Amino acid sequence: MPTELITGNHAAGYALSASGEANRKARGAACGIYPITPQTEIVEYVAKFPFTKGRVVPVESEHSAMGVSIGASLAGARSFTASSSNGLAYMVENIMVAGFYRLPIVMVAVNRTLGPPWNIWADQGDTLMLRDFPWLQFYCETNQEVLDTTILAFRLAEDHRILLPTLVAMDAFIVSHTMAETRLPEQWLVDSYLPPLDLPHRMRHAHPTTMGGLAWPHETLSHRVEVDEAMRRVPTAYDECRRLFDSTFGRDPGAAIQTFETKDADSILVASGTIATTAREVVRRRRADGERLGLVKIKMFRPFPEVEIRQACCSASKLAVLDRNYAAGVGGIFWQELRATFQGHRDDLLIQNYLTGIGGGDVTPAVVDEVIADLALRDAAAPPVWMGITLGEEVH
Amino acid sequence: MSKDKVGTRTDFPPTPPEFLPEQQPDHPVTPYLRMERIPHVWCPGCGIGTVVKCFATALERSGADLDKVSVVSGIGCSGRAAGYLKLDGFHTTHGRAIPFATGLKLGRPELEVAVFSGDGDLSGIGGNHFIHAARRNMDLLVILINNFIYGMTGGQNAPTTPLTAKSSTMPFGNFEAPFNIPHLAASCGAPYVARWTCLHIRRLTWAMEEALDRKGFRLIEVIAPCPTLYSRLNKLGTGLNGMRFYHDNAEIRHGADTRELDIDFQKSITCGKFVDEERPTFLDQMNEHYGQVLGEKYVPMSPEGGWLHG
Ligand SMILES: Cc1ncc(C[n+]2csc(CCOP(=O)(O)OP(=O)(O)O)c2C)c(N)n1
Ligand code: SF4
Ligand SMILES: [Mg+2]
Repeated sequence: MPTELITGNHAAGYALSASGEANRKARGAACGIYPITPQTEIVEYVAKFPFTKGRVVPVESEHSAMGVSIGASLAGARSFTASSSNGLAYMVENIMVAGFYRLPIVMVAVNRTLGPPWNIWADQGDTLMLRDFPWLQFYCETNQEVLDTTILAFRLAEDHRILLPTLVAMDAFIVSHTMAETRLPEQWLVDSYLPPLDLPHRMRHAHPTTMGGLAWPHETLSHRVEVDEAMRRVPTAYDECRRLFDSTFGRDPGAAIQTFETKDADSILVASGTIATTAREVVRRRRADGERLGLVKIKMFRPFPEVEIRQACCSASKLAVLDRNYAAGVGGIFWQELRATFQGHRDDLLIQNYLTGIGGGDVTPAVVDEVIADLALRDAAAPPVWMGITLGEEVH
Repeated sequence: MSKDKVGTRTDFPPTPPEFLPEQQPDHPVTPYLRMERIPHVWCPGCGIGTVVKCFATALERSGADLDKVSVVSGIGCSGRAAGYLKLDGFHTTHGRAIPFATGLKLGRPELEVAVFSGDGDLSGIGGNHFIHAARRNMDLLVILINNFIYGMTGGQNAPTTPLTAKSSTMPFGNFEAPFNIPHLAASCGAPYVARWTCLHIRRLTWAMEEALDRKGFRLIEVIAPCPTLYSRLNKLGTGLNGMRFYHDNAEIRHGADTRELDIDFQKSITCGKFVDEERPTFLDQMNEHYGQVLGEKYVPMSPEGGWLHG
């Protein structure tokens, strides 16, 4: 397996293309693509890929890109696309349709601040706005993790127990444009990991169906219940896909949550994406000084891995949730999930929210140190703390 | 610089001059620009700046009250124009300049609202708004800068990319038929339709001045070089080569049948004014219709938007 120095976008482009190519013995790959900074290299990679049986259409908008991918998927092709920020916002209607059609489309999203004001840097507000849709969501930290998770996502999404679209996210520029050594699996390995797509409800002459017709409330209700049941099967299916990935490629794409020094930790940082990378190093350094700190990195956001998180934090009395996103009027979105996770289970646990790196600001080790210092002084949770700004001063 | 010195330049990248706007010798269109935002983002040889200059000159010549001119743009290199013009305006979401501008015009009918954006923005992702604004003859001056590509995102195929031209998402050449923009506008009912290139500075300026004087949906397509992407991907040389190409291949045919205005890869580009007619605008039609149907109950909005303003 060759190791190359490539960007996160290149890793994603490679994974999407190789996965699409792996379906050449069935109905091939087909998708619509539309560029947006900082995702552009992904769709350019896909557009240049010499698919044996593949069609890539550079359409006129994100809405159409997802539309094309939906049609292709219903026709039995392996389908995927990529987007970011306002592109995702514009695509929203069809993102929802892909989920409720139960189509195993894989989308790579590069987390970029939603405008206005226009800003191209990292912020998870774009993919988290999709959190109530029937999509699985994974947040990645490194180029290798992006590549591995994207390939795994196809197997998971296409599993007949699941049949839900899957989103793989990475931070703008910090991952998308940073080169790192990445192992690129050969096509035959990807072929062996991804069997030909067999979508049970694909269009067939023998059974003409009309998708998306009008439904009565009770029919819609059972449709939603089925989505919920599929979501509940994800953790088991994910672990199976992960083990098979490891035995095929010799690498673990990573558990739903990844813990670091949590066993006897008194205070635990909770983070996702590249903030977890920085936080891990801070925890490592401060552990060496004898502090009982730990880290939980959340990789799987939908479905939310509640049970695993509760287990990982059982020794802690305080959690600091670092959110690179902001839900207006509430606070950090991961923080809300964390509070819901512990509600009724650990009412003694102090869960404090830190809004940091919003709009693409750097979350440096010094920022994480500040978070830890702030957490140490608290004996009760307060409203979310905005890092990098002194409230009370006039903000221009 | 002698040839053997190539590669040993020490002044590269050149240091920009220390910039204090008040010390600069005034460029004739300085009063129309937000000098604090200069230097702009456009690449050397890009055609967009020329179009902005022509627009500012046209505004000056038309004697328009600048408090009553507003510029709305979408997203793209061309869309950046709204941010450099010292006029009220907004930089909207990608493709949506026309709906935002429509709202602005309806809320303040006395304004001259100009839409300034790219080929991708106006005819691709925002194409739907383009045809509907032309259909309802919304009172907007639309300046569409056609560089045959999505410039800002790095050279992807646009709905205007000529057949066989290369783009980053059509690396083996484009096989999709492009839009003929003037024909698209004219067939949806636009009463003023013209096309010029960045080389036709005076004609373009006159066209803008003339269009400012007309009513309804007015479209000026401006063909502009994008040396960084379109020209590089297609090995067409620098911005200067682009200008030479326009010089040798632009053909002026006023009143030409818009069906004949397709642009083929590196073939002739027909320029001129193709449509200049009078047709009631959206507001004219609305006022007349409601006046007839509702009689005295209908009070049209005053030209000042019914607003007390100072
Ligand atoms: C909804 C959305 N999708 C994609 C983008 C990314 N984007 C920015 S500009 C642009 C294309 C611009 O092309 P054009 O309108 O031709 O302008 P040019 O840069 O060529 O002047 C794209 C796709 C965006 N900003 N918003
Ligand atoms: S990329 Fe092209 S269109 Fe954009 S500023 Fe540069 S030359 Fe102009
Ligand atoms: Mg363009």
